Amino acid sequence: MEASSSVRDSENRDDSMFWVHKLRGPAVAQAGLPICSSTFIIALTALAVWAEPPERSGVAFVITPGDRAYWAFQPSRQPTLPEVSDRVWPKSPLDRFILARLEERRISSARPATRRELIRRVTFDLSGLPPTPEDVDAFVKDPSPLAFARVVDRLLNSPHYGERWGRHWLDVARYAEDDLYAGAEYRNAWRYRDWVTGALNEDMPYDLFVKAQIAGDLLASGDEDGNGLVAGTGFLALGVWYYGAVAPPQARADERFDRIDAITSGFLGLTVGCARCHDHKYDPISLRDYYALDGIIGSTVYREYPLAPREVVENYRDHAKKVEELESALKELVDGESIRLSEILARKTSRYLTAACHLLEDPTRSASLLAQEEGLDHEVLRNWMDYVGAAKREHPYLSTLDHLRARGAGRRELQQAADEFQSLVLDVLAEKRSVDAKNEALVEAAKPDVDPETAVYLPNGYRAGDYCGGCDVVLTPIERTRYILWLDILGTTDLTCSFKKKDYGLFRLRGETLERFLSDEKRSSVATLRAELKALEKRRPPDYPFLHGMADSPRPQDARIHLRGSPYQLGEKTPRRFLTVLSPGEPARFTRGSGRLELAEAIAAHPLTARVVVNRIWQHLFGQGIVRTPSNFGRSGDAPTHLELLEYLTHRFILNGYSIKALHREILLSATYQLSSRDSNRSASNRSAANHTDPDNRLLWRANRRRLDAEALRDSLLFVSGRLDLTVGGASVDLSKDDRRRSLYGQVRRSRSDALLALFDFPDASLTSEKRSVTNVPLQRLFFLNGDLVWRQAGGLVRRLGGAGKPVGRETIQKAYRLLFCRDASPGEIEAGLEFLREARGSASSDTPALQQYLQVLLSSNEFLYVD
Amino acid sequence: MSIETEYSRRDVLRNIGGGCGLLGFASLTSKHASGADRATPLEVRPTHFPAKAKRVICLFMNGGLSSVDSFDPKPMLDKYHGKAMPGEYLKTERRTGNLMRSPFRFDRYGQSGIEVSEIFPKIGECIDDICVIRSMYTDVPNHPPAELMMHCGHLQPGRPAAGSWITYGLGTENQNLPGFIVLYPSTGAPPGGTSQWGSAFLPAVYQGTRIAHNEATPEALIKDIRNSRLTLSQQRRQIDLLAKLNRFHRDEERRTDAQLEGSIQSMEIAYRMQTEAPEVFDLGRESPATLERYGDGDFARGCAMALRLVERGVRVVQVYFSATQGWDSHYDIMAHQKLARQADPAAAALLRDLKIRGLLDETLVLFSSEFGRTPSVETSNGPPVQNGRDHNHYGFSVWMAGGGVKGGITYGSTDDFGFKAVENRVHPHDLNATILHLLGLDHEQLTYRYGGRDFRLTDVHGKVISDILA
Repeated sequence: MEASSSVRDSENRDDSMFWVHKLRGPAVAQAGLPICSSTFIIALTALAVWAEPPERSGVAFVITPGDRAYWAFQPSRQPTLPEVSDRVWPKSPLDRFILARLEERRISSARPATRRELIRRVTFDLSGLPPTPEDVDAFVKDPSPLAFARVVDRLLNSPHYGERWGRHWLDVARYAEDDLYAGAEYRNAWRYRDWVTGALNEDMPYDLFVKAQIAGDLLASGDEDGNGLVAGTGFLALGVWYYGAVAPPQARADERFDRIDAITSGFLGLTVGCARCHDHKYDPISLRDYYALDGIIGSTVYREYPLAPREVVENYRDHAKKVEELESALKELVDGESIRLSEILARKTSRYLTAACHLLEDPTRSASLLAQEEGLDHEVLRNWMDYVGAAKREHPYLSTLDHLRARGAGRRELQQAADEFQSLVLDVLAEKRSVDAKNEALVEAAKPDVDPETAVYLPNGYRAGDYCGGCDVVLTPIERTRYILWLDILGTTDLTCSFKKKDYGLFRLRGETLERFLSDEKRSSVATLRAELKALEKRRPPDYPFLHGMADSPRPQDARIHLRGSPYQLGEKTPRRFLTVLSPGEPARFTRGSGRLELAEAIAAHPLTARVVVNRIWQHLFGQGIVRTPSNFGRSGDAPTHLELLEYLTHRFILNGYSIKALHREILLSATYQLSSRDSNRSASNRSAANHTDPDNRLLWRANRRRLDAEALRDSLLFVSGRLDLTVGGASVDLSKDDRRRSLYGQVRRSRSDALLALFDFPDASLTSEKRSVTNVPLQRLFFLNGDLVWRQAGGLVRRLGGAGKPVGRETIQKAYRLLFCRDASPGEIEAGLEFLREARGSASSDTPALQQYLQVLLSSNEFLYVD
Repeated sequence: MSIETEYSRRDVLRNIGGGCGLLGFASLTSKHASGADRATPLEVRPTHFPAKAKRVICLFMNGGLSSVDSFDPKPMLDKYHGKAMPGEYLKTERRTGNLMRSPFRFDRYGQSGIEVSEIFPKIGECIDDICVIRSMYTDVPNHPPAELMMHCGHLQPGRPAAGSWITYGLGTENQNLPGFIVLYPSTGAPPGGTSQWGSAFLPAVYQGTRIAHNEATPEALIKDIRNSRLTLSQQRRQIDLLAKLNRFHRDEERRTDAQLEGSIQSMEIAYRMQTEAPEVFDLGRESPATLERYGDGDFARGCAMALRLVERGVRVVQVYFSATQGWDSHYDIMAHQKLARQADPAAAALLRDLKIRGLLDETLVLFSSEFGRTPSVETSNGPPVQNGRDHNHYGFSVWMAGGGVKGGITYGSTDDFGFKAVENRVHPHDLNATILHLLGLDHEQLTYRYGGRDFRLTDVHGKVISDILA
């Protein structure tokens, strides 16, 4: 890129540098301008006076000492614990960071949560499921000061912990199991999902978790992948592939963008994707930084890793090849015979046509008798009758015959017209054959010559270079109406949007009709092939498992800068390396293969990576992060509400060997986590003071009440009714048909979102998601009011409460409250329940239907849907 | 997400009083407030400036409508029929050859005398209410990205649909019905996936609700709309109990939580919705004479439903012509004639009924397609018939009517052959900016902060076509 060409003289250069500087300052960051375009650079009206916006000028990009001093880029440090006056309240050092701020603002915190509130909260937080009444009782009755720690440990050691926290990560990893454009499924995608849940359950150190997802294939030694780290590269492999949907250079560049965006916003909390078209507007990330990463991803290719011994894989492939060969032999035989026959029958056109005319003229005549007399096939003849008798045709070639029939012309005239029609059919047939031969040769010659060595392979056997958009050949045409005639008489189905013929031509026979015409010998060949195929299908070995992963390309190379983000306007090469601002001094060029492992190591080792994940964990436990833009720690993101706390936790996290579970323990055992979400039980004036001073609860003077997300909601419904299958791991299921498996195991499609999950704010799987939105709409209520799922669970609950067929009393209501809400029902609630049951039962002989209606109400209540 | 944000913001205002300075403070603190933490995210919201249109109906001719056979007559094609187009070869998806004239006659219609193809005679009769934009262009000649561009303003999935942006910006008038309804037959799926009406990073409340308008029963039309087990009075009893229990739950110490109250309210709305929604989709309530004017088929049903929906205050209705790429006439342009037999009476009847019922002035109708078709004949791939046209993203036509758009005019033009937009070119971003403008929204102000960026429907582009505003 001749970057300086956009800067005409030194005066302008100064201005443009000033401009970059200003833009990165907080003032503009607040202005809320749209700042990133994927296709073109921004053209701010205020800057229209400049011929060329400065971001095209790589020279103008400088990283200032101020940039480097930004808090998020600093080494990890151990902050001093703040002084607090209340020495009793803190349970953990981290509480002092919270308390100090509250004391400073003279806000008193809410009371601690009750044990019942606490166990419901922590069980949902760590497993995505509600506690059982037994869990609740045990905790409530445990007098030990270590009671809560024991609950936390039990939950952290449960395999459901990984299911819950794995899903949190899958949001960030934009996990999906298919491709939008090719509509193709990644049938082993779930192995990456299981790898993520497994890694969290094992408490894999987070730095390794990061490295595995960027370069797990390179961490494995040789062919051996003892640690199963290759599976982590599903993070890259399961991103979008655009196949041939748009021109290949654009498609490949967009695919790389997806990976760079996911890596940088996911692990580093930096919006490096913004630097695809121009230097980042707010953060010290240059266009070159982006293309340094682009080179790394561009030097990485999709690869499938079989999880079966070589023999098994080869056996499967051999078998598939045999089936394919046999299928094509069978098709060739049948099609060949059908075509040959159609060409023979074409010479009988006139006879079929006249016979059809006679039958139409005299409906009393028997078609099968006439067919027999004339040596014609009765079924084919019947089809000709329909064709001749049709009110409308899309070609004019039978109009003479139509006229003759209309005026009741004699046999001779009809015969002559039919003969003429036959010679036309034969003429079209000959033309079609010669045109096809010519065109086939042309297309064959024009097919792109893809070198299998250098070809870019994408999932599902797709080769990126094969796309040729019609191969740009000029084919020889047939006149439209003649083609339609061919389709009508001799053609196969045609489902182009232009013709839409759903039936085969009159003489193009299939199935039993065709077999009637075949010689004994041919018929038996077809039968033999079919039998062989069937036998072979029966012996089909099971599909071998494999991983969707990545590998280094054999020819790694640096990327050239895409001017304005266009893959058609290439600038100079940029060495593969890490982001400048995160490197001490000039970043070193990566030299090992694609450089992916070096990148992974650099990311894993940077304290920013630790800060980002610590914040994500905090976010899922409190409903909000310390930084409330969890995938954007840059200047356009939110500043941390408790910087020192984030530093403290990050320091601890690194000190504890990147153990996520240790971090959980530390946070969960704090007084802050254990606060009540309810308004303070102290004086009303105090409550309103806190509400006024800090209505967003940024200072965490209480816990945040949270709505269950889509998965926790569905899982809880199934759990309380006793339907939930708690098996961990395995292939994905269609949630619209399954009401046993946990929602985590539902298919995640880019092409088709699951209706229930989407209704409750499941994120779009096409892009990385930093947090779920929480909406509250009537369609969600209809799900409770009318949906099958809730009604069926209410039914399951009737059985579970032992209420089926029995009269319902206070005891049933109490049991339901304990099961659903972890508490006893109040007298008012019991009264309301009994009254409802009485009225709903009316004069019915059984309580069961009324009870099911009652339980549906409890399952639809706010108390079920929200966690205090 | 703090679920109390919205409540707290309003609470501050209510308790302290609503002076200007305080309002300024409130809007400052709400800078980052997203739609999700609005207590009632679909309530009607103020426009940026007075609106001409209140509602939008988008009739989408998926597959690619040929402009030179519909709304952009090109006599030069007759002259150059069978000859190469002078000038540069424009690359489209497939190879195309010589120019091909339209097999259809163009006639002048209305006071304005605008020419329309004989395959759209009924739309022709409405031409004085229509603004034909003849200078559309888009970025690529492939269905999935081009449809995404048209609907979401971006070539890849992952951006909110225009309908989502509109309901995010304006809310909707009828709380008993979804604000953004997409009529798409259940017999297929759009090329860009459900992202074509997804809300992406906007809160899910703004996603389009897909109604499979080819289905006959309300149950198939809207999931969970009806309860087959319980009577309305049984349900009423349930909802009364639920409200009571929810009020017990929302005790003194949970009183400040607006989300809990919102949930109680929305149950009431849901209860009403299930009585209103089936009635809306029941076309049996229109007179047979009315329905006859729409014609047969899914699209006709869709147009008739669109009328009933906007009558009831639904903000955005999209009607897809077909479940697959119906207008994709690669091999035989005569297919357009058959398709127009369905599209023409239905679209015209919709315009007429909107007008009769006094709704056209405030309802914007857009008749569009993801791209057009080449004036040259397609010569590669498929059956050896060369009577069709390839995708053309260089130039195509769409039309708008009602909702503050001038009628009886054309805007912009393509070259002599209808291949490339040359005068007053309009990109989908410009079209979307104009639609938002007519609805009283500034496309540069309608932003949503996500992942550190302020996103817009029009990205960093888009220019309102002021010449067509009434």
